[in-house]
Amino acid sequence: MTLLKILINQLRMQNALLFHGGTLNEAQATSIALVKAGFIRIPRGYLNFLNLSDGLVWNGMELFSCTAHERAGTVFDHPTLVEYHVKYAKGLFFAKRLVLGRGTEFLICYDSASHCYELVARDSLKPMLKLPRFEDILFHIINV
Amino acid sequence: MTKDNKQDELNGADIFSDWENLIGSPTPSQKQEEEGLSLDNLMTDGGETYWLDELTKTNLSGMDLVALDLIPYYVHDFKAEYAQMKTQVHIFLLKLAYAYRNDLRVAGLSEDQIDELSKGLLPMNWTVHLKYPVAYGGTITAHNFVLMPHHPFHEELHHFINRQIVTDAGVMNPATLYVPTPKSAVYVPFASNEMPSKIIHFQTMGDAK
Repeated sequence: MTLLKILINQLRMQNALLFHGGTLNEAQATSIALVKAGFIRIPRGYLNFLNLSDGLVWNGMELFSCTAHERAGTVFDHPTLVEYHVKYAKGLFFAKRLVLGRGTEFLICYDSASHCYELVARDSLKPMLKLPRFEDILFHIINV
Repeated sequence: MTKDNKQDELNGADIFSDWENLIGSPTPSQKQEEEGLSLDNLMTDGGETYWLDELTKTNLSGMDLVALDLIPYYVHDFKAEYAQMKTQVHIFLLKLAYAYRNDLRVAGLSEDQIDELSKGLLPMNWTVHLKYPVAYGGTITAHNFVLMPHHPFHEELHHFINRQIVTDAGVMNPATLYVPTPKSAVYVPFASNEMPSKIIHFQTMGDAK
């Protein structure tokens, strides 16, 4: 069992909200939409995650999805990658970064310049932590 | 008069006429005033009035705009800050859930959401926001926290801050940052006027000070 599957099972046991895995077509369509909007493609590590669960919500952390997940009876819609970037990712900082999710005062990003996943402080937009794999970042958020 | 003196006089006259021209010519600010533009009107980016105006265009009702000065030479210790944030947020949520349960109900949180808070977990679409950034004198303690909905308010608040720190040259902290600040420890925009006094008390007195 891969580390990513172990972490997802761990989150499932902690009542995380998980979704059905996205299809390759959905991921491709999202990547194309992101590139057309001037952002970068979805990195491979995050595609592996989307294949298992198209987004995630747990303890104030949200990982963005390919397709929108509307939640009846609430004002809350789970944001998609494209929706988030078009609305909020403005400026040079986001040109080479893809925001994959958000947590309590941090963003989870992929930096295409260094090919690393990173936690970025929200108030200063400075990288707090850089790790090579998406599952490493997820492990750090859950367990450290 | 020698030739040299004549030359000096000519030069002096030239200088004088240049000086006169210089004094006579309107300065850039005078030009703007003549054209009906004052310096205040030109200060669109970075001025307090500009950001106050921008705040009214957002959904962040009931928040005050606070001007914060950058702490010079502040160096982040992200590892320590991250660890402290995790611990302090947990304590903050437990305090809210156990000591201010009735107030949270009034603020609009459901019983299930309050139960999650009592486990030290954040309910769906709720997050903890640091009111004053650390580089601008904020501390990672309960009196600097506010519980607020992720979408759209927390996102919009940070978008407001990002507009000040993301420049064409890159990301940099401005000397003065204008931060929208909620008044209480729980931000519920449409009920902010009816916020129970106890929650405000918790925020201002700050148990963890």
